[in-house]
Amino acid sequence: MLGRMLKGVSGRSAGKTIAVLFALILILSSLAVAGCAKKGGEPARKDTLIIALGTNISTPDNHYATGLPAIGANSEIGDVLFRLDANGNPIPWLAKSYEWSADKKTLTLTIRDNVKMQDGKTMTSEDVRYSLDRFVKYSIGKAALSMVTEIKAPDATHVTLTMKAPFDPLVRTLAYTTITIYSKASIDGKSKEEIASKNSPIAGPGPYKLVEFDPGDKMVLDAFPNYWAGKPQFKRVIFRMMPEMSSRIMALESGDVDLIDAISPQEADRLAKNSKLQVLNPPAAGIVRVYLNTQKGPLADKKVRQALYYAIDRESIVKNIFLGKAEVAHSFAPSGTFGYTGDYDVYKYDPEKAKQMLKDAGVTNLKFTVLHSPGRYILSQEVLEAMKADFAKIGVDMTIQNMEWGAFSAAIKLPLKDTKMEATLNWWRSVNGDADNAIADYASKYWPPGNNTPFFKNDQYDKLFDQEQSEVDTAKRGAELKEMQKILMDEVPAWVLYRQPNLWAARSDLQGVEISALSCLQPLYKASLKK
Amino acid sequence: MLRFLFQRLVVTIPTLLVVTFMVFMIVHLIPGDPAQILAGDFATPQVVKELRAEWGLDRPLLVQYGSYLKNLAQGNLGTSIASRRPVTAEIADRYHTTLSLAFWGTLFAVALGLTAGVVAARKPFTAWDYGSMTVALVGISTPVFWTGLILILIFSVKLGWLPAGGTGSSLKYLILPAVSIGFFDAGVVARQSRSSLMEVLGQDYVRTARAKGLPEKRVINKHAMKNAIIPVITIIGMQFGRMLGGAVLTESVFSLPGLGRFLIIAISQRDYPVVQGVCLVLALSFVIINLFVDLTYGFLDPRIRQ
Repeated sequence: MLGRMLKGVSGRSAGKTIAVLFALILILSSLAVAGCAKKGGEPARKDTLIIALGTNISTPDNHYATGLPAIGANSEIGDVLFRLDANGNPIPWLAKSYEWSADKKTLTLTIRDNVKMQDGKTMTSEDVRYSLDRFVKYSIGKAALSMVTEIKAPDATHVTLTMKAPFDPLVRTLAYTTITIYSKASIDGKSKEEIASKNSPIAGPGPYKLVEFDPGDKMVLDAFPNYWAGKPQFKRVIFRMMPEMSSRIMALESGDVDLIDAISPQEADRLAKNSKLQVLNPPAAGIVRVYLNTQKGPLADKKVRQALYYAIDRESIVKNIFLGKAEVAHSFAPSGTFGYTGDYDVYKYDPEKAKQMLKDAGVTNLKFTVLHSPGRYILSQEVLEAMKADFAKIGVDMTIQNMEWGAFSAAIKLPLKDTKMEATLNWWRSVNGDADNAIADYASKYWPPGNNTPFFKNDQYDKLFDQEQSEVDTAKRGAELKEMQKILMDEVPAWVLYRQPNLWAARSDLQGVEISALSCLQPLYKASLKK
Repeated sequence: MLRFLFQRLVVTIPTLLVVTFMVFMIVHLIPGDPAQILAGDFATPQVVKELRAEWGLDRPLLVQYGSYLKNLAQGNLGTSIASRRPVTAEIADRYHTTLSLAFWGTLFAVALGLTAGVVAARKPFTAWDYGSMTVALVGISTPVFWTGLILILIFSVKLGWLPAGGTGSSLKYLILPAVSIGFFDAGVVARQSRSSLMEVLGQDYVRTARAKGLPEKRVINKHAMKNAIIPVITIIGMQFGRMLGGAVLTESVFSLPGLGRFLIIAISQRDYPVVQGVCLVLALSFVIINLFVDLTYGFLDPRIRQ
């Protein structure tokens, strides 16, 4: 038809155009077919697990990586000393046991024997010492181990970590995925650029070894058959970086990929109806909250903060915006962490009570602005819109000021004299399964530019914080953490809202995939397709 | 011709210097601290301070700019703050993806747009014309990301013929992105070529050619198209340049590791060396494309050459 059409237009010259077009199509098709041919030595599709992540993997080196899903992907190469079980308790992993000194200032780790690494070496205590030392000195996340002052490898199987003061959650902290153990020989003396390059030499004791790293595109890993915990089932794992959720979902539906992360509750519901797919929603360690400026502005009055907390219908947010896939948060620490208590959440939705409390406080025509960076946290704009409507019911006017993430980050880090922040929606978590890690930042010494965003100051809290941080008695520390959460729930430096969903989707026959509460994939050696 | 080429290349240098200065100042003046962004929510002020010192961000702005120019003169675009890889290597890894996308997208746009434009111009105010221009209008009006998603839905999810995204050794990975990005430009090319050819076909010299009894094919190819194509080539050149820098939506939808997506991520992370490097490379690409377009004019119209 096109031929006839063009012939009518310009005779034989149009025929030539068509010939050129057809030639082009033929070239394209032949190249496409040629590209379909599998390269020799490449595992079959059924032996390859393809995972699409919404996060960019900027380097395969976890000591310099950012973004928790990317850190999870990299942890297939290296491995950790401890892992956390579903209740946040440490499970010995590369460290087979540990022992505290009497003053609880020195932790001695006993390293697992005969752990092979991807560069052919056998893991020694020196590899562990070197990796920990490198993390403490250079890593972006080094604050997690800032209390450690000395790391030694006294013999081939032991590593000691010494601190100035006791820090009870240290063992749990060593389970933080980014504290990864690598082969010293593979990275020592090599530049950061070389380790982050396409032909990165990085090697570790993990289940999959690095084959190819294409920044912004993919990371290809091959099974390491000598993995100490068991032979990996898939011969190859490919991480593809796909920032668009809709693209990830369609890639999963078309069978291009097998597992995807970060999907919305609405899409999760739709995908769950597809018999070829499954939706995973493991517990999440992150809590979304609205921080409130406790020192100046319209929310500096504790009674106002409390009153407005009663006006937020958190159950409705979870039910209607997250379709029941999130969970109402009842404390500043995630449930399931050591020391958690949800006993002090008295703020059940009650707009009448909120109105009365505002009246008692003599507050009228209350207006405030909440800073927000859209797209950073799933459905956060919808959550703020729902809150705005809730507040409008009691005559309070909340303005949502959307900002680009970079500008937002700068705005919430300004010191008190400069800040204009009245409220801001953000997220916080516990990286080590301990409530301490989730609530420590409310100590007044961490005011911005530190992470005490609401400029919270409470003498009793500060005192308890100092006690808890150096407490050697674990049970006593648990009690102190609960007392600290009680103060926070009473003072309301933030409206804690909900635990974010941790939604993934996969082909229905994929099994053995474990995902941590921080959205990090755990070692994938057990992952396989059902027969 | 050589003199013309030399003059154009000399003018390029101050253009690029202005680009480096403007981009440098703009990215540094927008709020946001790369150290804070990259260090993330977990970072302490001490870590942020150390990172700023490591990357030289604690120095005065003009000192930083001077240092950047000095490195640039040695062919060094710096090191990415986010990945810690040389910016040159980062750009090289992605440039071919964007270039391939722009090339195949332009090829598709020209093939479809020119065909539709010629058909419409030859049969004005007929069903052929209205049909072609409707296709062109749909192309211009449809958002690129929407076209991309629909193409994925049909050809990947439903039919399973082509991959939904990503890259590979085969051109099949580029077919859907190229069609997606090229569809918009096809509309622009179609409308431009129609109006341009219609105008030329109404000129006296075309009437004379026909009156002399020349075959219609010869009238179109030899006489009309040569003049009608000049504004179309300008459009194609501009669209090609736009695709190089603005293919971010297509690259995002199809998960292609190209320059556009890379630039957006770099801006959000305030990865200054990457933003500066990519903008410089894109500006240079634009200059080269414009030069190429100007040379093509000369090739098609000897009067311009003189």
